[in-house]
Amino acid sequence: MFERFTQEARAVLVEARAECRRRHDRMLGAGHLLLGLWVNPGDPAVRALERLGLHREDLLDQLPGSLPDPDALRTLGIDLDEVRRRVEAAFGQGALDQTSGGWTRVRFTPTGKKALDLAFRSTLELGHKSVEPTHVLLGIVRADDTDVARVLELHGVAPGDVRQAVLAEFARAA
Amino acid sequence: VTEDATELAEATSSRDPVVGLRAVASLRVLLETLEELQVKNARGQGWSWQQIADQLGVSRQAVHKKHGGGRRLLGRGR
Repeated sequence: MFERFTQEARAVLVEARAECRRRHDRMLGAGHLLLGLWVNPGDPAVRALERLGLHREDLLDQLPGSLPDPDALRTLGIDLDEVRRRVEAAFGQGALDQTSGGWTRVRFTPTGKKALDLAFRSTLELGHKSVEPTHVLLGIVRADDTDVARVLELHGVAPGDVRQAVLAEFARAA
Repeated sequence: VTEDATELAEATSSRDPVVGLRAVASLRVLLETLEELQVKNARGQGWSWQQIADQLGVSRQAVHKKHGGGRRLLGRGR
């Protein structure tokens, strides 16, 4: 399935994985994929989202929070920067941020997996030959993910609106 | 400014569940990260899962299940 993903769509997966890691979430879900779309800032998928008033900075706050929180750790007397400095002294730069490196051991949440399956299916249904970030976005909103649904609702956006916005981007490109 | 922020954070930590729980959650994340790093390092130095499990104070199965493998994305392995 992933052979059909364009470089841009693959970049979304890489970014989603990075986001997952930054948040230290154990599984990659539709919310991570959604945030991952912004790895290609000028992409039609991002244009569609921003036209609906959905911006990365807002979503970062509104999707469940990112950890570890340096301020919270400081209340326990733990200086995350110092921990990072010591770990990097032993294991090399970025060691603390680069666990679960590369593509190994990625687990998807059920809706994360579903989003990718539906991205692929959306591509086929539209008669397109490769999976682009726009198709990933279509998959995300079709996957019925609770976190994503809640964030969309917060902005008064229905999944159908996202679909319409994406189709409008396709029409524009044609 | 940073010192003020620290003081403020410390002053509020004891009672505010938001700060307290977030600190605990952050600690857990940090712990998981360090565990992964140390397990990887130990494996790199030829340690067995049993040896690692003994040091961590958990079962060999638990360590292996957590760090031994899983589904891969894009089919690219280690």
